[in-house]
Amino acid sequence: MQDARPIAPPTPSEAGDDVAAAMDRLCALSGQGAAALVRQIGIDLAMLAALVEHSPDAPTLRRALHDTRALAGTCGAGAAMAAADALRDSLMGCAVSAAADRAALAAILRALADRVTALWPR
Amino acid sequence: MTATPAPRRPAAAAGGPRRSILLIEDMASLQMAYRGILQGAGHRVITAASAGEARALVESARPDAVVLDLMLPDADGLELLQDILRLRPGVAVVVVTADRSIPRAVEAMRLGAHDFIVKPAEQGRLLSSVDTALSRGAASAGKNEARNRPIGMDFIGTSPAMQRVEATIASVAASMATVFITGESGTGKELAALAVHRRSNRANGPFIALNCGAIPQDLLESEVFGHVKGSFTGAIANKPGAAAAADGGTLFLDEVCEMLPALQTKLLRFLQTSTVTPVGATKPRTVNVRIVCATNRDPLDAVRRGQFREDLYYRLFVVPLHMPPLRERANDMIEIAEAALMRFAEEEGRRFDGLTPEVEALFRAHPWPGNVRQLLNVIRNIVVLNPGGAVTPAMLPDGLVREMAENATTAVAPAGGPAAWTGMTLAQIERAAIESAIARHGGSVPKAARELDLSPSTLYRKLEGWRGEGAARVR
Repeated sequence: MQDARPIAPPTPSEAGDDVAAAMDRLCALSGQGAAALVRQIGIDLAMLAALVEHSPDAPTLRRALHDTRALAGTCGAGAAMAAADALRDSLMGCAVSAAADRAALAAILRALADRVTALWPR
Repeated sequence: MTATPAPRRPAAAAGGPRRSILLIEDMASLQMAYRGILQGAGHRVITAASAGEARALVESARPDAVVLDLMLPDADGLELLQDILRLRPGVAVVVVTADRSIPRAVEAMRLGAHDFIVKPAEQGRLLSSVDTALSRGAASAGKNEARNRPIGMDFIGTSPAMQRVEATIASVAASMATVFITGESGTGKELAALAVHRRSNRANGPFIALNCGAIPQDLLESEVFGHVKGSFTGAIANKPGAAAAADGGTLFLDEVCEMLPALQTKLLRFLQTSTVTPVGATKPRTVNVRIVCATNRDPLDAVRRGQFREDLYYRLFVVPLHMPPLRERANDMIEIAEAALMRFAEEEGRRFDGLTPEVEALFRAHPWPGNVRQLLNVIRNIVVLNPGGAVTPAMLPDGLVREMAENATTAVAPAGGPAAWTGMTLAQIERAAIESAIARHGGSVPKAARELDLSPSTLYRKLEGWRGEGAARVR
C-alpha cells in the first residue's frame, strides 16, 4: 500500500476513555466466561493492530478499521475509536493512508490490549 | 454495552418458550460479548462467524430472529441479509454494524431488516431491538409474508403496455413453453417470471431464481447443475444445483446473456435432454423443469456479437415478453408510488397522507432510469427518513433531486419542443410545460410560476385539478 498525504497522527490520549467501567460491564455479562472474554479481546486487539499496520490493500484496511471501531467502542476506548474514525475518513478520501497513522493506531491498540488484560482479573 | 447496562430479563423464566437467535459476528470477542448479553436475557443463541456458516444455520436451525454483522469476511452483509430473508421469509433481522452511513442503513431497511444498530451496540438497545424483532416475528407471520412480497406482485397499473404483459402471462402460464423476458433493469422481470410460475400448473412446485450475472463464472456451472463431493477444491459436500432444485417447478435464469459460451452449451444440452449432470458426476439425472429466462440486453444483438449461442437463443426465445420501462407507464407511476408509500408506511409504523401535486408532477416528469426499483427505493427512503404527512418535494432524496435537476437542464422544454407536441391538445401542452418548469426548479412551484409569469396560486390550482383527473394524464 502506498503512503498518501499524512493526516495528523492521533494522540494516544486516555482522556474521556472509560475502559475500566466498560470492561467491568463486559465481564459481568460474561460471568464465569469473563477470563476467556478478556483473553479473546486481547487476542483480537493484537490481531487488529497487526492488520491496521500491515494491511496489504485498502479493502482489508477498511475492514480492519470497521472491526477496530466496533471492538474499541465495546471496550470503552474513545481514543482508539477516534483514531480509527480518522483513519477511515482519510481512507475514504484517498484510498490509501499513511504508514505513520496506521502505526500510531496500532500502538494504541496494543496498549489497549495490555491495559484490558491488566484490568482483569482484579 | 458502553452505556447503561440493562437489567437481565430471562425470557424463559417469564413463561414463554426460549426463542432461538442466530448471532452472525466474525470477531470472536464481540461474538462472545453479544452472546453473553442475549443469553443473559434468557435467549438461546446459536452463532456463526461467516456468511456460509450463517446460511447453513438459517436453514437447519430455523432461528426466530437473526442478529447480523454487516461486515463479514466472505460476503457483503446486505447480500447475506437478502439470502436470509429468502431462505427464511418472515424472520426478523437486526443489523449491527460499525458503518454509520445513512445510505447503508436505508438499504438494509429497504431490503427488509427489522432494525439497524450502530456498534458499539449498547446492551439495552440490542436487547430491546431483539425483543421487538421476536415479538414481531411471532405475531405477524402472515404480515411478514406480505412484507416480503414485492410491491407490484399483481402489477399495479392499467397502462396498455402492462395490459399486454398481463395478457401474455395469462396465455403462456399453463403451457411448458420457455418464456424469454426482456426489459430494462428494475422493470420487474423477476416479478413477471414469478407470475408465470404462480399462474401455471406448477405453482405448488419450487420457483428457483438464479442471477447468472451475479455469480462468478467458474462457480456458475456448479450453481446451475450442482456438484458432487470432492469434484473440485472446496466441494466439501454434494450440492444438487438450481436445475435439480427446480424439479417439478420453474427455473428462472436472470441475466442469461452473461453466461460463458461453455456453459451455454451445457444449458442447451439440458434444454434438449431434460437431464442434468452435476460437476464430477458420471450419471445424468432427469428433471422436469420449466425455464423462464431474462436479460436487460438485446438478446439478438448478443447473438450477432457472438456472445450468445444462436441455437440457444432460438431454443429459449419461444415466448418473448417485454417489460415496459416506467417512463412509458406514466399513468401507473403515481399509483405504484402511492401503493408503495402506504405499504412501507405501515411496515415502519408511520402515517403518510400521499403525494402532494408538486411531487406527482416531479415524478411524472422524471425519466426514472432505474424504473420501478428506483421509484420504490425513493419511496422507502422518504418513509424511513421522514416522520409522516403528505410527501413534499423537500422530502425527496438529494440524489433524486440532483438527477431531476440535471434532467431538467438538459431537457428541451417542454416535452421535446414543438415537434413532440403533435397530436397533443393545448391543455396537454400547457400541462407538460408546467410540469417541466416545476421539475427544472426542483419541485418549487413559486419558482416555476415566476418563470412562467403566472401566480403560484394559479399553478397550485392547476396541479390540484390534474390530481383528480386520474387516467387522463399528459405524457
